[in-house]
Amino acid sequence: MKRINIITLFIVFAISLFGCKKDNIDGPNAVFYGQIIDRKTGEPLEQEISEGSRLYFMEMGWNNPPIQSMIIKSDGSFRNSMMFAGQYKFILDKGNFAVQDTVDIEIKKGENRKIFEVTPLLRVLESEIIKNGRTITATFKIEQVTSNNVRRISLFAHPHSDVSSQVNLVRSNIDVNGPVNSFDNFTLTIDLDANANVLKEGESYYFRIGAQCMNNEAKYNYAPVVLIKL
Amino acid sequence: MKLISSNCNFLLFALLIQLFAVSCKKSDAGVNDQLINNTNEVRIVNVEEVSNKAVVTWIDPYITDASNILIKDLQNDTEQSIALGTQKAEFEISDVSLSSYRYELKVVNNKGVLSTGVVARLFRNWAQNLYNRIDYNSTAVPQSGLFFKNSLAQSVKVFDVRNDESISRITSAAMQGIINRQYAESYLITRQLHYTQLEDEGINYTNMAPTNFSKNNGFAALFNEYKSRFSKIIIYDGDPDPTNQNMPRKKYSWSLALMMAAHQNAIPVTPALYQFMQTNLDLTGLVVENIINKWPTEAAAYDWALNEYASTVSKTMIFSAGLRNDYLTGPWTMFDYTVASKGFCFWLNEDDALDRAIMDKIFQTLNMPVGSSVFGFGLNQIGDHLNKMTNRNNGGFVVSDYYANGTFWSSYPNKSFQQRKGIASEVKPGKVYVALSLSDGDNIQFDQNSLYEIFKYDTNRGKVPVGVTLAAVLQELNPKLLEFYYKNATKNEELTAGPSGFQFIYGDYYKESGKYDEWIAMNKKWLETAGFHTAHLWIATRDNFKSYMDGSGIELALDGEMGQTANAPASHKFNGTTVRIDQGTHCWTEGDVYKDLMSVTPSSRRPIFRHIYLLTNYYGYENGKVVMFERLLRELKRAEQEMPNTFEFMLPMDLAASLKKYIEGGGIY
Repeated sequence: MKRINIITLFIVFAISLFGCKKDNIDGPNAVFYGQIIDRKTGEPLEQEISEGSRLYFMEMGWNNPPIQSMIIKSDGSFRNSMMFAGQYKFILDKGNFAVQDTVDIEIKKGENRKIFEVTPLLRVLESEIIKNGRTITATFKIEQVTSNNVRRISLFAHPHSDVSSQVNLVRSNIDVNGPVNSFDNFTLTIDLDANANVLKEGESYYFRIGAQCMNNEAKYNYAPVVLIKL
Repeated sequence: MKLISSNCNFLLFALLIQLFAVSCKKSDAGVNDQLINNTNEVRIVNVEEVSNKAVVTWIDPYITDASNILIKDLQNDTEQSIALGTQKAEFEISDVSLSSYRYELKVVNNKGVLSTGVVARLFRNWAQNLYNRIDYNSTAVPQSGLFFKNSLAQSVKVFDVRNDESISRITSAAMQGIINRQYAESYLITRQLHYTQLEDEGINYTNMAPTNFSKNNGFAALFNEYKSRFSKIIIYDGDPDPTNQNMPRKKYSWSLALMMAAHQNAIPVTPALYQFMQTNLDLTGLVVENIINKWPTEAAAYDWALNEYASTVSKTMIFSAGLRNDYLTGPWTMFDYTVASKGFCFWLNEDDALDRAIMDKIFQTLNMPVGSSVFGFGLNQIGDHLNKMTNRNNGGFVVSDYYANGTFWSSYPNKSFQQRKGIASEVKPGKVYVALSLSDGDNIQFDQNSLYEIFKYDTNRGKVPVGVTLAAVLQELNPKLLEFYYKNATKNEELTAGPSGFQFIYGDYYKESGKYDEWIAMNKKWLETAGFHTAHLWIATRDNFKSYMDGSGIELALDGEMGQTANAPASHKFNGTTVRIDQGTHCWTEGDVYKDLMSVTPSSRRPIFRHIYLLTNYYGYENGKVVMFERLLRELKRAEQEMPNTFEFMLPMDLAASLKKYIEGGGIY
């Protein structure tokens, strides 16, 4: 009886393995990961996780392949572990960088790393965010890198490090709607007393400077986040 | 329990095997790391020429396993190994005849592996290739018959009116039109450049002594010299409006006075200038007519003019000529040509319903043929938009507000010109091929003023290939001026038509005349004998643009509607003869060229072709000083530092030839 049970169990296990293999096509066999970096500085290009830049791609070899996308994280990195080896077209045309021409890439089985060097639409330079009394003050400069003028500059605040134009409790904006000079100093402030109901004293919050250009599809360009205890 | 335990051991064993298999599979594949771009290369490479040495500087790569930098002089293959942190190397420039020098920088990592490398370039000349110009003299018969012409005079009398009142200067210009109608005897100096232009052409002239009154001594000298040519004085309403000191009280008064002066050999003056004449000049024999209250309304004034002059005004020239809101500070200079040619004059705003009705009547009455020219500039805030009205009535713009001494230069015989055709270069993916053009040459006052100064005084001209827009009509209007550009062009300049060919038109509005195809055929002839292979076209639908490409016989049509080319069908981008490229960014100030170049990313799949439009009076000048090429060179160098060995510069026609060859070879465009 004991022998029968063992044999039965082995058969069931074997069938389950065999069955799985037979019932499905091959699963994802490739990982595609990497980073979007600033062509000039070599630094990762800061992004926003929600409604931010995306990496669009099409797997070739199918009729009318659908356009898929993967999120680019706040630090400019991306990773998709559920890809299939094959020929792909990658499209970076709706981000906070100059539009790239479509890139043909062969994704091989296993890990595939790609660094996309891009030209950011704007660079936030010499940024500093400090708490001074009951005011958060951000000072910075903007380098307008391309022909797209600046629509708006902003300071965002949120308890999560993914603070951005989409993830914020408080924001302070200046509508620029024109070209900027790299020598100009900009200042944005958040009045803590006026926002005391959402920015609680004694709590820590992330602050981040963002700037958006006037291109229709353009996402914000950001400075690194700063954590400040109120 | 024992059974379960036994089964569990077995299951555990099987799972371990499976995990092992999976992990083996993963490590077999490894990381496909060949996809990385230039992230392990040096950055911000710069090459400067210092004391006949090429000094290469850079920023070390940010990767942590770099060991040293290998730099090779690609001219003679000498190599230097430079330790990290040094970020500088020097090479002797042994062959000084080259127009550019290339240096390859490779990063060596700790394992001795070399990076792909970056090529840094030192430019003495930014052209990808330089080709010789050909003899510009053409045997073709130049175009003719559209513009006023007169004859050369035996001697030229020069009157300096620079210190005269504005209101007197415009009167002098109108008088010059009558004086020069048959022979180009008089020449007015309203800026120093006008002397320069006489001297550049080697023309002998006599400076006429000014009078010694308290003001208007140039005008008074002109009057005294040529008084016998005039039979009348017309007093018009040119005094400033009390409610708007920048505008005359009656905006039509000057236009009507010009027409009357042209037809009656009269001198148009304001009451104040008339008073000056009465006090200081001998007016014996001159009839005086005051037209200040001659007509009850503006419409009545133009009705009168149409009734009086419609049959005697020029059939092919009409003038949008009035006193603009800067008439007291920057008076126009083109009025001599207005008067000499007896063109109909108006000063009306096409956006104003009443003015528009008057314009409709003028154009319907005059019924001008295809190829007719509208001189002057529009009254509307966007003066160019006068095209919206005039193009429908067969009128193409020849903007000319500050064109001076037109009646002097029109005395030179018409002349045709020729230029070499575009030459194709090899193009490849990863590169951006760029042509630049200086704007506004369709406007003949730019040809005579700003572009002339850039050609004459910009010491950096010739170091960057550029298209120079010019007016093809100069072959009849002012052949000496067009010849000046041909005579002085370097290998790095292509003379081209501006928007939109031999006249400035909006394609869609000219189409409404029903004579667009006729205009295109005429345009082809004028461009051919001007020697132009490149032209721009603004405000034209895809199909109207295609008609222009098909009929104008040019190599390159630059599309002024941003982004339209990208969405056009292939047959509208290249028709077998003419290539179409977006006219591109209009650059106003320093930084704009750099920003435009940074806006384009090289592609690993295809070469990219681009055109940039440099606004002559903005990009080319700073505080009245010519800075066009000095500024441009700084910008190109900055772009080269940031994206080394990426941008290749060529003349518009060479860009067209290269693109044509690329398309014919099956390339994606």
